Amino acid sequence: MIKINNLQKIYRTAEQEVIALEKIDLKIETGEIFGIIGPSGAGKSTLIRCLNLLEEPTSGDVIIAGQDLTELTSEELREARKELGMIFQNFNLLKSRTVAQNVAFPLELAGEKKSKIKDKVDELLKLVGLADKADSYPSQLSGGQQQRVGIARALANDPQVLLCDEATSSLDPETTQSILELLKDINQKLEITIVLITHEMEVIKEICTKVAVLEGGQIVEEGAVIDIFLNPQQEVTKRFVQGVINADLPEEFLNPVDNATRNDSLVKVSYIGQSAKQSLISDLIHQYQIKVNILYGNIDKIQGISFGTLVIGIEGNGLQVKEAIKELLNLAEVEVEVLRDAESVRNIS
Amino acid sequence: MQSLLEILVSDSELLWGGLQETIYMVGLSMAISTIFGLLLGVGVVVTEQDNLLENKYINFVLSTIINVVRSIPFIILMVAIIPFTRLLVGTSIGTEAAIVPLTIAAIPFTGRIVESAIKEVEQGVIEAALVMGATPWEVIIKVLIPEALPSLILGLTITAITLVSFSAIVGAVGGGGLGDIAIRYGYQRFQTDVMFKTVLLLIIMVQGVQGFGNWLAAKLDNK
Repeated sequence: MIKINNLQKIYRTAEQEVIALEKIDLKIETGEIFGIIGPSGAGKSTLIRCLNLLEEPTSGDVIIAGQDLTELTSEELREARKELGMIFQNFNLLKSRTVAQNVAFPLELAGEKKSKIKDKVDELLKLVGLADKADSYPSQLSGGQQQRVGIARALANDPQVLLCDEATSSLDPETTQSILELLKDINQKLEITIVLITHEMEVIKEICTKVAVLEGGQIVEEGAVIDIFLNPQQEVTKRFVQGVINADLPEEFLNPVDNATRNDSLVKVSYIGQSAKQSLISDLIHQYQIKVNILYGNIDKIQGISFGTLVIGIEGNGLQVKEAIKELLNLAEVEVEVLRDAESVRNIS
Repeated sequence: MQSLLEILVSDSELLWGGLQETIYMVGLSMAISTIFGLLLGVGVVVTEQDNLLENKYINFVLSTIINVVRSIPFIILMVAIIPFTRLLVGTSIGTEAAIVPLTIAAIPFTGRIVESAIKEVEQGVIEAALVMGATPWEVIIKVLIPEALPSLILGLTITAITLVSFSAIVGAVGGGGLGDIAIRYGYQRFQTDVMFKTVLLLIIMVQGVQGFGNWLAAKLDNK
């Protein structure tokens, strides 16, 4: 559906050049909900604005449905943009128009007949759950309702792609949830491809199938959301994942002052799906004669798949503890990270 | 001894004629300058750097027109363009002739007001229209002007009030209207009551224009 090849965006001023995006390659399949996350200033907004050429790339290709947007004339680009709906952080509704007139706006631009516009507007307002607000003005609506109008407007021309530019960033958590539900819903009902940028990992976790992590104008990590959560590689990704699944232990656990508590090894175990049902811990206890302390546990769902994190303290004979950890590390279905070795284990190695 | 009522209604024919002339002058110059001021103001905004129809040459010409005309005091502009006025209406005296300098002065004034009203429209709303496939012309007609309408109306109210005061100045040099009456009767013939009544009429007129402008802007404002 969407292919980006070697995209670059450089802002030139008289004194300096600022590289906003560098060597961006992306492939987004039809029907995916693709998230792009990054800290502020990473170039997320620039990237999504390059997808409909609101921002003109300095070099590289933006191919949407087989058409390279960077090679189109302005007339052809206007036509192509009708396939790319967009919603915004600040909704960007026309204040002088009612809800229905706002949704009708893109249809007017497309030169549709009045009767067809009316039917389509009714249908869209029903889809986003605002049929009763047709004659209200945007200023009379809450933020969440305004974003719903924005979504209805973006869908008016039956686009193949919906671009979401920080669409939930100015909404409260509850409203964010309901907007995300709506996006998921239209993704399934209309089979529309959604590309969204956000700085909230919660949003990625909630609805995205794939995610790319942007930092300093480059994609540093990319993959299925579940893999990224299970096994984040980059520092920035780890920080984002921790923001949602916080398995950070208090400092006194990791570096205790008194010797008594230094006798256990701390291990973080992450697991998905079926492996959550295995009696992993009790097997370990039996097999290696060790004591296991559960310090932290959490189970979450990402796209319907259970995803758990456990931090355990293992106590016992140094050799046995070492063997137990080795066994954990060898298991394919769990990710294991040793946070701290016990004194006794350190003495062996 | 005249009663107060008699003083108030005396010279009513004279004042009525003056009021009509003033309304005529202000109304016509207002109508013409609104059209050209709108073109000028919108033109200046959209030809700016990074705007819809960026063009630094046109932008330079338009903003220069605004600045040059705006920097000439009205009383000087009025006499300076007398040859042009003669060319246009055949005379430099009378109500018709007064409309020419009034309009010339009001166009750049309105232009500035339109410019600032249009600039208030959020960039994001313009972008939203562009990604929906709007042409620059559609953005101007369907987004910029409707969205800026309440501020435009308030701005045009300022133009109208300025024109009322300018119309009194042209009156002083034979342009007719309430200003003419105030100078000839009230000042030169020492008819204090006429002076007082013209001032009263002007105040009522300005109040009326401002009140109407405020009402219309509030009615159109859905913010």
